[in-house]
Amino acid sequence: MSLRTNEEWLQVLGERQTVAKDEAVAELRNYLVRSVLVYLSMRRDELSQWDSHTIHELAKDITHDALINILNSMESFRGDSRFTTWAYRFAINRAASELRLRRYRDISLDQLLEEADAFVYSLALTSPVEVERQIEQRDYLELLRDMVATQLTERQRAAIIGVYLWGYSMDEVATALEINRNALYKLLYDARKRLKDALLAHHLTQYDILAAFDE
Amino acid sequence: VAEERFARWLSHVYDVDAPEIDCSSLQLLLPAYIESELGLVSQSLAAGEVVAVRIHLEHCPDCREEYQGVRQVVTLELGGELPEVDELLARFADPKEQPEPAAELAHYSS
Repeated sequence: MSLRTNEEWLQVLGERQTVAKDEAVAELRNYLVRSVLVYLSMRRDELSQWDSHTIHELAKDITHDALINILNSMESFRGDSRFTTWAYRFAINRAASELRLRRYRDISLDQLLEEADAFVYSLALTSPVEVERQIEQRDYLELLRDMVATQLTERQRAAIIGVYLWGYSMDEVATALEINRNALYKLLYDARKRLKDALLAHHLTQYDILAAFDE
Repeated sequence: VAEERFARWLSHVYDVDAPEIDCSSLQLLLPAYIESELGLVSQSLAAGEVVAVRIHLEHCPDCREEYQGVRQVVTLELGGELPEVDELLARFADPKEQPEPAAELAHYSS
């Protein structure tokens, strides 16, 4: 655990070129590269083809980028956490983005829309149920399909199905829609709200719908 | 599996509350939120901010991944167990080594 206080970190990293600053940067770099390696270790299944030398090089590259970002963002440190915790966020954000880039699936808006149309049909009724329940299930699915098709814009439809049903990452869907992650979150929020309002207008709770699918 | 995904999808729809924070705002609050969870600071975030972070993490898979990573690193550091570089690299070379576990997302009720 770092022995420097937040104030000490801020003061020494804010200095011009001094030996003390070089030592502090080296200490911070060491913490960051270890944090990156811990994160990569959590995602080892994605790196099974990589040897430890390549992983070390990747971790050092990520750390280098994160360190530059940290030193350029010192004024945004709110002081409501330890400095190192704040700094880890930059490193982990950079590492997570790097891994997402490596497993990136190039998808288009058209593909997302096709998958959105297919989503209700993916809910094939796998277990035999009595005719009455089949009708109830079908009615709910048709209502949902109709709401997704008519209440949402194309982009909202692509987003809410792509991220929450098919498991694409936010970055993948944001790229397909040519927007950033913040804008995608807002798009998802608006889509969720529209669907919820439409469902509540039909006096339907999620428990009503899920009860029809309980075995 | 399709039914489980459908149930989760419905939860995302019904758990919508106004207003929710975006990813950039979440990133600003995340360090203090994690330290609060780990009992490192008494209460530096307002109650509304804590709820906002929890809601965002429930609905944003990318931010959730990053939350789990930072939380794991801070947990190890606090326990004096943040491994050195050589030790971490050795884990990648040893097929018997298990991956670091990801923290479970604390459940919230809205």
